[in-house]
Amino acid sequence: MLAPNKAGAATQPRGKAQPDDAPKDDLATRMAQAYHVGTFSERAQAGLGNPSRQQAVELIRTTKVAKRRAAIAALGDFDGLRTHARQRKDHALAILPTLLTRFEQKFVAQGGHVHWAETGHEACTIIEGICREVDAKKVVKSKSMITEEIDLNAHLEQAGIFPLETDLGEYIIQLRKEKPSHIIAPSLHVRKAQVAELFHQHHTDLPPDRSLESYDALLQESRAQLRQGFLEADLGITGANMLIAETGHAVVVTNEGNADLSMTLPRTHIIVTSIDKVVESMTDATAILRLLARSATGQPISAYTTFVAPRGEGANRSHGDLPTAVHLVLVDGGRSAIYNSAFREVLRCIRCGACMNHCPIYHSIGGHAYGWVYPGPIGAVLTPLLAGLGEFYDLPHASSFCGRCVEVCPMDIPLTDLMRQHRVTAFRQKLVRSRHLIRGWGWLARRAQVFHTVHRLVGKCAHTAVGRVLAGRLAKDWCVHRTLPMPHAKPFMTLLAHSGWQPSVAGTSPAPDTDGSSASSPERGAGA
Amino acid sequence: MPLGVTLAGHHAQMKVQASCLHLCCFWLVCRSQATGAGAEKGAEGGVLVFVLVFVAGCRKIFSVKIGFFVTCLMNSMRPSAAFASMRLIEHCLDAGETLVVPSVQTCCGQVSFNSGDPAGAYATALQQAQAFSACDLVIVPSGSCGGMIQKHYPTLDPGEEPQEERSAEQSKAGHEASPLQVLAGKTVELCQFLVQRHFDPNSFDAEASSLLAMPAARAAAHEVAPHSHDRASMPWRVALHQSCSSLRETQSAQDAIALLDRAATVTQVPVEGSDECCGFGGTFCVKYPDISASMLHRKCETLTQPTDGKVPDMIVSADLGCLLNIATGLRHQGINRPCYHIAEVLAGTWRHSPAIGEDAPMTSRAKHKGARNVGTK
Repeated sequence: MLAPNKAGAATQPRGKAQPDDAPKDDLATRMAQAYHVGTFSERAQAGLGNPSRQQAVELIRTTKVAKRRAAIAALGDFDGLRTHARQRKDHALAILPTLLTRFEQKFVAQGGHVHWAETGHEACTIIEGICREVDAKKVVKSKSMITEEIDLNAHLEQAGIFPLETDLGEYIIQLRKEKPSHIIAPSLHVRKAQVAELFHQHHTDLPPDRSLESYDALLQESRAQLRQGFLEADLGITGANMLIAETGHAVVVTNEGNADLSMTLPRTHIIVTSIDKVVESMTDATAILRLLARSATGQPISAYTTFVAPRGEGANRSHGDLPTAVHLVLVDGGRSAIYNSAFREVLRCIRCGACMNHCPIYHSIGGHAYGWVYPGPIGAVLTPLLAGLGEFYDLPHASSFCGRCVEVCPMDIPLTDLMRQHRVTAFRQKLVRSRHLIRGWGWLARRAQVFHTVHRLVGKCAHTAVGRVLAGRLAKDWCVHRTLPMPHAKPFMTLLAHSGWQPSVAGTSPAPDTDGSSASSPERGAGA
Repeated sequence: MPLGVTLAGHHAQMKVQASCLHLCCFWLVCRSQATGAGAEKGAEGGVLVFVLVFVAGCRKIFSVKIGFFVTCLMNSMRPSAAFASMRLIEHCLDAGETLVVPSVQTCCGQVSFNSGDPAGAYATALQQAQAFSACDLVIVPSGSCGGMIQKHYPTLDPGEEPQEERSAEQSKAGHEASPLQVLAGKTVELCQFLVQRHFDPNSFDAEASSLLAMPAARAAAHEVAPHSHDRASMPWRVALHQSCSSLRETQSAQDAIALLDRAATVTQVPVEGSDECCGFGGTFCVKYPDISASMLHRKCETLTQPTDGKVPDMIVSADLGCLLNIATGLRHQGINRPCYHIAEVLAGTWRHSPAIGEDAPMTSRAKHKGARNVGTK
C-alpha cells in the first residue's frame, strides 16, 4: 500500500517539474504508438480530408454548442457557480494528500479495498491480479478515460481476460478496434451507416437480412447484445468522476446506465480512477455535478448519477444481486509530477469535453489527430505532460489561442496560458524550429530605428519584381489558401513623418466635437 | 513657455511639481511688477501679458497626452486605417488633450510571447512602455495587440533571473507598479475609446480632419485611383467579424457593435458563429496553414451567408490580422466582398481606398507559385 507515502510524496516540492519528468513507462510509449500513426500533420491531414468525420464534427459544432449555451443560460449564475466550484476544487487540490488518506479510510471502513498504483502498468497488473483472484474471464467495462490512458483493455486481453465495453460509443469503437475521438462521445467520427455495417459484420448470430437503418434498430440490437454481456460477466470495471473524501463515495456519471449494471450485476466491482478526482465533501461534489452535465451535453443533470460506496461485506450484503467485493484502484500516472509543476491547474479538469466541443481546431482535425487519449485543448495541455512534449510538440503549438475553451471551461482552467507554458518549455529546449526568427523579431522590436528602417525597406522592396517573387516564396504556406496581401509601399510611420503633421493641443481652435472642422488648423495643413 | 515645453515630455507626477514651480515664478514676477513698476501706467498691460503667459503655461503642463499605438501590422499593411483611426481619435479629443504618435514604438511583442519567448516579449513590452511613458492614455486600433497589452503585459517578467532575486527586488520596489502594469492600465482599444467618448459617426466629417488635407494621407490610400463603392444603395449591409481577442481579452466586441449601430451609412447583418476564430492566430496560420485554412473556410462561409436573401455588402472587423486573413481567403476563393477596418468605416474614408487585399498586384502569380511549391514539398 502506497497510500500515506504516496500522499506524502505529493507534498514534497520537487521543483518545477519538466514535462519530460512525467513517468513514461513502456506502456505509455506503447500506447502512444498504438494511438498515433505518422506525424501530427499527417494525422491532421487525414482528419481534414475525411468528409464523413467532418460531417460528424459539424454536428458537435452546431448542436452541442447550442445545447450547452441554453443549459448555461437556464442555470442563471454560471460564473458564480464556476468560481465556487473552482475554489472548492483548488482547496481539494491544496490538501490533496490529506483528502486521499481520508477517502481511503472511509472507503476501507465500509469494506472496500483501495489499491495505489504509481504507473499505468502497475494499475493494470493490480486489476489483472484481482481478476485472477476471483477467476474472472469475462469483464464488463463502463466508459472510463483513465482505463484508456493505462490501456487496460490491451493488457487484459493479453492476460486472456475479455473486457466488453458497455458504453454504446465505446462498444462501437471496440468492435472497430479504434481509439475514441472524443472523451464523452468516443465514436463521434463514426456515421450511422458505418455502425449498421459493423453490426452486420459482428453480430453473426442474428439474421443477416435484418434492417438496421433506424437509430432505434441499432439501439435495440446493441442493447440486446450488451445485456447478454452484463449477465455473463464475472467482474465489472467502472471509472469514477469524483471521489468524496467526507463519505467515501465514488460518483459515477453516465447517460446509458451501463455503469450501474456493471457495478451491480457482477460479483466483483473495480473502480479505476486517478488521484486528482477527490473532492472534500458531498456539497462540493454536487456543485461540480451541476456544472458537469450542463457543460458536457447541455443536460441539467446526466440520466444516471450514482454515488457508490462498498457498504460492508458479507452480512450487510444480504441482497444477492450486489457485488461481494469492491476494489478501488487509484492511479497516479504522472499526476504527482503535474501537481508539483506549474501545470497544477489542469488537475481541476472534470473531463466534460466542453473545450473540444468549442474548439475550432478540434472541429477541423478531429480527435484522432491529437494522437493520444485526450483530444482538444485539454489534450493539448495534458498529453505533453503525460506522454512527453518532444513527441507531442505540435499539440500546444497548433492553437490560434482564440480562448473559446477557456471561456467555456466549467472549472476555469487557463488552457491557453498552460499551452503557452508548454511553448516556453519547448522554446527553452530548442524544439521550436523558427526560434531564430522569433528571437530576431524580438531583437528588432527593441530597436525602434532599425525596426522602422526595416519596415520601410520591406515596403520598398515588396513592390519590386524581385521583392514580389521573394514574398511569394516566403509566404508560400499562406498563399496555398489565400492571396498574398502586399505591404504598403510606405509604412504609416514614414507617411506620418513626411506629412508634417504635428501634435497640437485640442481646443486651441474651436472645439473639435462641435462640427469636427476645428482640427484642420491651417498651420498643420501647410506643413504638409 | 520653456518650462512647460521641457516638462511636457515627463510623467504626470512631474506635472504637479512643474505646476508648483510655475506658480512660484508667476507669483515672484507679479510681486516684482507690483513693487517695482506698480506706479507706472503700463503696469496693467504687463500684468495682462503675464496672465496670458500663465494660462498658456498651465495648458502645456496640464495637457493630457493621448498616445496612438499604430501596431506593426497596420503600420506596414494598412496605413489608411491608421490615418482613419487618428482622425477618429482627434475628433474625440477633449479640450487640452494632445494626440501623439511616438516614433519609437514598435510591436506589442505578441509574436515572442506566443512563441514561447517571454524574455523577448518582456524586452519588447518594455520598449513600448518607454515609448508611451509620457502618455496618459494609449489607444490601440486592434483587439489583439490591445489584449496583449491590457491582459498579458502585467504578467510578463524578465524570466531569466532566479525567482528569489526577483521577489526580493519586488519587495524593495514596494507597491510601485511596474512600467508594464502602468501601460496596461492606461491602454484602451480604439472602439472602447470611441464608445467612452460617445462618438457619433453621423456627425463626423473626415474631410474636415487636419489629416486629410495632407498629401501623405492620400498616399496612404494606396496610390490607387479611388474605387467607386457607391454601386449599392445605402445603407451598406455590413457583416462584423468579432475577433477572438476583442471578445475575450479587451472585451471590446460590444463596443464595435454599438459603433456600427450608430452609423447611418451601414446596417449590421447577423453572423452565425460570430464567436468562432477565423484561423489567423498570428504565427499559427503560417505554422499550420491547412488547419488554419479549414477554419477560414468556415468563417468565410458564415460571413458571406445571405440573410433575408441578401448577402452582406462588406466585411468589417476591428482587427487587421483577421481582416487580412479573411480578405485574402475570400479573394482566393474568387469571392468579391470588400473588407475594411472598422476605423475606415466609421471615418467614412473607406470610400476613397481600395478594400483590404484588393491592391495585391501579384495575386494570381503568388497563388500559383505558392500552390506549386507546397505541392512538391
